[in-house]
Amino acid sequence: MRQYTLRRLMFFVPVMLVTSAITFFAVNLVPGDVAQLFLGFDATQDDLLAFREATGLDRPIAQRYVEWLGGFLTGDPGKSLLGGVSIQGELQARFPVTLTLMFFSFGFTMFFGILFGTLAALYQDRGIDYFVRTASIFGSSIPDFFALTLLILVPAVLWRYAPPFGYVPIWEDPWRMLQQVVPPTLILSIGSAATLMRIQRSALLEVLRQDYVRTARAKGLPEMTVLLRHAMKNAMIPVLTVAGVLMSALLSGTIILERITSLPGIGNYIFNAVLNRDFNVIMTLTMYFALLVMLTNLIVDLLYAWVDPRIRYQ
Amino acid sequence: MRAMDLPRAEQTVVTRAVEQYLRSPLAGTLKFARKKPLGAFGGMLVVAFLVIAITSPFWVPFDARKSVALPLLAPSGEHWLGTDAQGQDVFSRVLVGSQISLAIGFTVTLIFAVLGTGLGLVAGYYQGPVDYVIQRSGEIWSAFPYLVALLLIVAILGPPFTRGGAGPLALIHIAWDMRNLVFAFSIGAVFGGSRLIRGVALSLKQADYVVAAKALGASDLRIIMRHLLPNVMPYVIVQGTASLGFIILGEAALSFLGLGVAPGTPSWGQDISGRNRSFMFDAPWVVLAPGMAISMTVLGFNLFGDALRDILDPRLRGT
Repeated sequence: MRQYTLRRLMFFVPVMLVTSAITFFAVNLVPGDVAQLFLGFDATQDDLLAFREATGLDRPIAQRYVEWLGGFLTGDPGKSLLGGVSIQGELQARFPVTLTLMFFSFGFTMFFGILFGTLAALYQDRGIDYFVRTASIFGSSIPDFFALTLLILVPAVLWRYAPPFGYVPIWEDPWRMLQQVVPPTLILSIGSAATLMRIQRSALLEVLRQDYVRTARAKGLPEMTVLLRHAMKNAMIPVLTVAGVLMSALLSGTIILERITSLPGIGNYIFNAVLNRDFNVIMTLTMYFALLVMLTNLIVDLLYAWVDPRIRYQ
Repeated sequence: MRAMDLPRAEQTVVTRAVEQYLRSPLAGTLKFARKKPLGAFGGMLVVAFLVIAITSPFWVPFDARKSVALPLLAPSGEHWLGTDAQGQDVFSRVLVGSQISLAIGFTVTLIFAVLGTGLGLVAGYYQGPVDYVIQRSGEIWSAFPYLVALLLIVAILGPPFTRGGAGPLALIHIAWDMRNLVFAFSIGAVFGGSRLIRGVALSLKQADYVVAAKALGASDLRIIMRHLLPNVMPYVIVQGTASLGFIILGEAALSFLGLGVAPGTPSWGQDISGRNRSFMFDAPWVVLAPGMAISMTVLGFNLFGDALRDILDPRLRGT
């Protein structure tokens, strides 16, 4: 198992290299003068030259790629073109915001997805099943940004009340943090919880038909034990797969949430970087995202083996 | 791959159901409506959306691109859904806004149906290096969260620009104007979809009738076209319907973030952002109308696709 993990981790290196090279050259091939874009059209020739020299834009693209890569690998992703702010510093300030949002929206997704999926499977073809399934189709049809807009709009129009948005670190004021973070992440998790619920329902239905569940019931185990010990664990595989995919969907949702509520997180950072073609920031964040997605996939694969001991990696 | 568990007999049953439907579409539709009322309701929403997208520029009460009254008027007999921040008629804009969603959604789905199916069949049938390359490039692509990937592509290719127009030909124009976005969505749709088709092709390859055809000396091309293609079609239809809703949501999100259509173009996502948004507390209809339009359209595709999946995808039957 340890060997397998190491081999998978080693495979990260070529993927990251390819991803970074593609992104770097693609972003740099965009037509238009970056120096002009940053300094505006009234910039003098000297200003432009100075900007290019300061940011390294005057060097050949291959050399810049190698330099960027060297910097990234040694833990110094360089500076943002916009204002020359250190990327490392920005990341340290912004990372907790996005992490909090991700934590809550992923938590809600797992909780509601598995809870309602289980209920629907246990009461198959009864009222609650139809209700949950229909609700999930409706839930996954409302775009994130519209649902979040409604969250701001409806209380304001009906009760003249504005839900608090913003970010307070949990160690400063936990109650206020929850007030600010729970409503929007709850809304954000609707769509993914709906997807997860359907997977959990069909996976559990499949498992509940298996012989070993009948055996467990036949030997007189309480229904709760049958469900938790025998059925749930075996239904986890497809749920894990989808949960991994949903991580990436929730990250996209977080970008929208941060845009709407102007939260100072990673989502807003990459959005502005893309708008302004802030190469270093785009590159660094893309690498972190790719790493995050690959790590999620690896963890999902390792959890498979934990859930189902028949799965062995070598 | 779960498609492998699929009993062979069931696959022919599915194909037969499709053939039967094509023989008498009216009777088939009625049967569908009786068995799946919610799915039929979704289908009606989809048809309404199609009709509106193609014909609305000819009959909307006001020009969707001009200010026709004072800004932020409440809904009234003249302006059914009020007017927006520029004094444009919200009702007309919402109807015409369907064009963008339809043009992008259908073009991408068409590209998936041709390219994704083709790649999936080739990868599943030949396996080997083609399969390997397709699988690995799909994995690299999925290393980006989709919104980040879309943002990057739009940043690299530049935001699209479209003026819109009227009639079915205008939709082709719009799709061409939006080719950057179409490209961005197509990558995901083709990679994601071809993986599914590949799995089905992989299991079909072992079917008796394919082995028999091979023994009779049929060429690879003939086997793929005559024996595999008809049998993967149900999966292509299900996947295509499901991805339509997803693409419409994605386009709306990009336009909402200001990276989709050009400013001023009637587009559901864009009409919820920008100037309209800053007035939404005094004039909620300016954001409610386009938001409801997206939700209803996607709901239509989801309900319809869900019912189709129940009928066409034997893997999920009864679960």
